[in-house]
Amino acid sequence: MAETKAAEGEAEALELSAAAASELFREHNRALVGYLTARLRTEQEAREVAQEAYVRLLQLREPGTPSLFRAYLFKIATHLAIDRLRRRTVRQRVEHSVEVDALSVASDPADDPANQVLARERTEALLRALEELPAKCRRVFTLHRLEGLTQPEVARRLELSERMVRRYITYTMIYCRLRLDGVPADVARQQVKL
Amino acid sequence: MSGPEVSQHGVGEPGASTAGAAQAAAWGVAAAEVERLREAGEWVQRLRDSTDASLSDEWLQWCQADSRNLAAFERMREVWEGFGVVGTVPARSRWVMRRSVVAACAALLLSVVAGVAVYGWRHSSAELLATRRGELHRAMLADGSSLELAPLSGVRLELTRAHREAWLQGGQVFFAVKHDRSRPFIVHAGGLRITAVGTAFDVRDVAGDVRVTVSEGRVNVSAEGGGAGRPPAPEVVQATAGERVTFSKSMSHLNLASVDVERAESWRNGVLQFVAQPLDEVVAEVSVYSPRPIVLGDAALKELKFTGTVSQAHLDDWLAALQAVFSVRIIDRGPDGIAIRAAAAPKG
Repeated sequence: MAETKAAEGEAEALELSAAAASELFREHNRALVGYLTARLRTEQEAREVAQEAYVRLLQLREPGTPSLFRAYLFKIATHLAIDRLRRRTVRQRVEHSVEVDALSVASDPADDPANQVLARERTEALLRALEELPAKCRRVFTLHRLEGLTQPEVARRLELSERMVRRYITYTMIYCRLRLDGVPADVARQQVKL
Repeated sequence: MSGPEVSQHGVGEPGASTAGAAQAAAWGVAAAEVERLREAGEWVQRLRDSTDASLSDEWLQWCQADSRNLAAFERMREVWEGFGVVGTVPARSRWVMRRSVVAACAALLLSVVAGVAVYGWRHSSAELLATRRGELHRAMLADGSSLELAPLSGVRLELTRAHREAWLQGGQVFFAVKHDRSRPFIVHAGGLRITAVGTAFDVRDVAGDVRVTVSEGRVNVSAEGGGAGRPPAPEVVQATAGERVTFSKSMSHLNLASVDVERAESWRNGVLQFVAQPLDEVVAEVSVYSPRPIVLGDAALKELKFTGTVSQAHLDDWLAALQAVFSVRIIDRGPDGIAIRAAAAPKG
């Protein structure tokens, strides 16, 4: 990407880089952290990776346009996240997956009991919503989300297509979201048509 | 990856009765919103533990396609994460342990909730501050500390009852830290870790060149442990008022020097002072204070040394003065900015 700019562009490039990084930081931090949290499961790690990606972007010192830097930022962050995932052993993944989620909700109880109470209430509401769904749907979601089976494993065990498993999971999440937002059960049910 | 193509069924299909649609509408559940949630839910699943490096462009496209997409994603992720507290035995036993802590804290809970409200900080929500080109920003923190951000600067903050921490994302920030011995204020910047108890200092990180300038009290500066291009971890430098620590990845040690604090901190009033500084550095520093970028258009001009004061309020005067002092001309490129070129420069 460096060669296309004329000599005049050189000075602009440095300038752009500092400016672009700060613009990116302001405009895309939320999208980046959300993206990384979904990949890495913990917000703490996501923020670390996002920071590292910003720092690396600042160090690039190459000319470019804002959209190029934006794509760069997300690519750098993606690779950092994948590196981290690969470093986690398979064993850790199986044994601690749910636990890690629990920790991400309340990583230090003494630090924030109020948060824990809120998380607890939300979990109870979600479990109640899950109970309202048809048995098949509940079973798929429980196996995948709570018992940690992969989607192909769930498909094999319940003799469903992977596509159906994915659909059940997505619609369970939509239903639970609507219920969490206070939408009545029958209205929410119509929306997802399970 | 099967992706969001599962969409064809279920949502907003002709099967939904008119009465049902009206009822749904009454609850503010629009079919388009449900479709958005469906896409968001697909993304939660696709990204989870994904080692597919090619998703980032598609993700950006989706986020940019509609500003409501990201919010929907966050709402769906909340559902996914919300189930996290139940499940495996270790998670449960942990929870039971914590519940007793919660019970023990019951009497404190109200004050903690009030504390959260006053602080405006929650464990899960760090505060981000950032400034635009030409913008100086001052922020008061809940603990009584205050920050001042130079233009095009960013800092992330986390204040809890247990710690106070900030990460400089680039640019320059002045910290006036409220004294609290039990809760040192830690700033992370470009591989450095700056620890203060109650003091005032300024941290600047421009493309990895970091400097910490102390105007009151003292701070400890050390390298964040290990990593390429960083100084060895154990080195700790104590800097007191009137001193500056500099570090960049090309240096193997932290460097401590005396500095004129008043001159160093004048940026907080939009005034920059330079002594025999290369023109490219001067222009880069001044540029962020300008509503339009200012660039040095000729590499040869880098060799020039500038001494003087530049005021944000009078940038035009400064540009005019440059033409008088050096053999340069100022080219106004409208919204693209202002270029400084050699007076007799060859074209292109």
